[in-house]
Amino acid sequence: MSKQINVALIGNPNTGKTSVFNALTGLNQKVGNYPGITVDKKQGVCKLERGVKAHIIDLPGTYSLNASSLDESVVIELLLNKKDKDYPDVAVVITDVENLKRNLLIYTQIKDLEIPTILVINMSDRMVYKGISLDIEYLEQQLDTKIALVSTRKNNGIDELKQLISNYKTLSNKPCLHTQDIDKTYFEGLKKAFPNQSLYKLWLVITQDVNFGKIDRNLIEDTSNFKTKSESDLKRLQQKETIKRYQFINNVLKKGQTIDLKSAKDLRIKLDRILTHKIWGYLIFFGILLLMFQAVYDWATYPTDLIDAGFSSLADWVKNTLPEGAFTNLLAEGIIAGLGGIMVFIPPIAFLFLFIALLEESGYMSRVVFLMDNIMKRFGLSGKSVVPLISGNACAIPAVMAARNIESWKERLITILVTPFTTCSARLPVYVIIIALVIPDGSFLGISYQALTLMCLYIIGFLTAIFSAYILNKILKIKSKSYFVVEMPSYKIPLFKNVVLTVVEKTKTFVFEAGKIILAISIVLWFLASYGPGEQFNDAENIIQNTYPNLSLEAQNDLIAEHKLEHSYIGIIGKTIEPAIKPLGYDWKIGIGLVTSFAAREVFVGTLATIYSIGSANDIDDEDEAMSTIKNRMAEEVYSDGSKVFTLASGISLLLFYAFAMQCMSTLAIVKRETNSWKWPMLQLVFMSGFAYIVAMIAFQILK
Amino acid sequence: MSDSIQNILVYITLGLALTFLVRKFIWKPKKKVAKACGKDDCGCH
Repeated sequence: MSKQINVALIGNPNTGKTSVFNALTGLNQKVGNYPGITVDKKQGVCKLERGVKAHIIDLPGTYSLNASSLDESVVIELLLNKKDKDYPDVAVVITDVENLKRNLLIYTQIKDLEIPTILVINMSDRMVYKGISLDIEYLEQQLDTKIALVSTRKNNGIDELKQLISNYKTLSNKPCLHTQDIDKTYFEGLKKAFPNQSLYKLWLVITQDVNFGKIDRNLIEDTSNFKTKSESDLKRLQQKETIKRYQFINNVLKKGQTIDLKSAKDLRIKLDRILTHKIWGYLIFFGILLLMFQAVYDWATYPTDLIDAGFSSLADWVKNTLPEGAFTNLLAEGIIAGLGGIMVFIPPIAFLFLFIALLEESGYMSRVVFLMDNIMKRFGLSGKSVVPLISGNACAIPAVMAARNIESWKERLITILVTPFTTCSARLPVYVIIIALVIPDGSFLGISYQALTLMCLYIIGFLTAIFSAYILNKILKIKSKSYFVVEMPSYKIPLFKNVVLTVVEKTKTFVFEAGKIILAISIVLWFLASYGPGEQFNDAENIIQNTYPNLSLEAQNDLIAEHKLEHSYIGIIGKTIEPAIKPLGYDWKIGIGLVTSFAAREVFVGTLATIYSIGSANDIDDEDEAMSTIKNRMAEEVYSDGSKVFTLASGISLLLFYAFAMQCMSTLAIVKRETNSWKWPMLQLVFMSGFAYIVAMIAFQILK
Repeated sequence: MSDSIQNILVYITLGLALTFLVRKFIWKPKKKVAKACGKDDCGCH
């Protein structure tokens, strides 16, 4: 059996840690979550010499071992817990050649945990541009380790790094800083109380601000008579520790690193001057957002339509090839349609993450955060929330996934909760048909009333998202630190491999995590719409043929479909909820539309087509013609007293309901995945739908 | 394939979907997590 060793990649954000991980593992990697939290856990396998395999874990970026976020606590938890199956045999600390001084802080801390540590100085190809030269031999001697000078861009140094990992047993375990240099009396007391334990590990457990999942720090205080210091004294000691570490690093770099500013050719300052400019900066950013929005909203429609058409053809083929019956219908209309409903989200997700990966990889995203943070902070959001909020106008699913790169948990959660208020493209078919039905022709300043209504709905969606964020920021009591510390990494040409891996990983996450839930709900909804109790459902064909013997076969089929839907389980649900939706101006037929469109908002139009006996409208090739048929039929719909069902009042009420209600199971599934709990998607469902109900009811009661 | 077999297959598929949703939404089998830290053998050192 081949031997396997655990290797942890650790380092500050933006040091190219993921590039080193990708270079070491290639495609032998998988991404999951750490148990109980939504922090990406990237693992991969790398083959070393003599059949040894390295299980490589790419830990979240952290500036030091003083945790202030979920991501950082994950790193410390692993390094403090020798019993963890991923506890590293060797730590590889990745640093950026341009920020060596700051990046070395965490190196010295990990070295003090007495874990064999290799230092990787990454982005070595930039040394010439920056006028940097390093005395590697001297640095190795002073830092008491082995150094790999790596450039993932040029693919240099990876083999040397593998060699060093193979020989990790020869590395020294000596610490860089002796704990007693921080406070002799305190650490001597600690040693007396815990004679056989690593003082630096104890020190880290005592001083962390976060609650660890696996480590109970109270045990330290409970099991001994050791008197720890007050919080402010501990903070003071932490500061002293950091100063001591930087003194050590400064001394090492004084001789080991030379920077010749005269030979540096740096475009960064010039680019920063434009990209973070208070006018040009915003203009360029909104230009890029526009391009991103165009890609998700427009370009993605070509592959989406292809996928949609592919699944429709497959469904037709199954229906025409397999023996007629309920299971064939389930395969064609439930399972294949459900799978199609999942796959159509792949292009928008891929396009959005292509853009996000390019922005992150190029170093531009940090400039965006710097630009937007000031504005978004006022609403309890992060500068990075702009991307989910804007892309939510195309589709909430990739938008919610895009919130993952927001560091503060509270800001991330608020962004996830409010993003579905923005007007996604699935609302458009509903808006278009209702607006055409109830908003009169005419114009204001040359813009038609219908266009103005559509624009108002977009604005209402965005403003509600921002306002809800403000309220949530006030009421959510989540302890989450948020600093305005943003690193401005150098501008780089994005690495193609990293971009592709990000896109593939995000798409896979959606398809395999949220996709399963969507498919299961699709099957249940199909069953509810295709089965029903009693003779009215089971004998629908005979009832319609006997009642309307002179109608054409096509018209009879439409009426049978309507009759069956009315008496199906979902029809019964629609009729049951009628008293509850009556104050909003809806009848049971609209009620069925509301229930089925929980699968996806656009299903509303298709359901109405079936329920108003225009199932054959689906067969009309021209989409506009089909919409026009549905619209005309809806316009003719009347109550028993002769009054119209679709009036300005009920139409506006319906528009507002769809603007605010959480009518999308895919979004709920992805929110569950991203928050790792059903609590938040359920709260979102109840709040958004409750709010939609109240607003729609008020609108109807005022306008009727 | 007879209607009854088709119906049985539909109910099996529905059952699988419902079981999956119940396990996701309502009842989740708890995974055994190795205890890292205890009074007698603390894993953090």
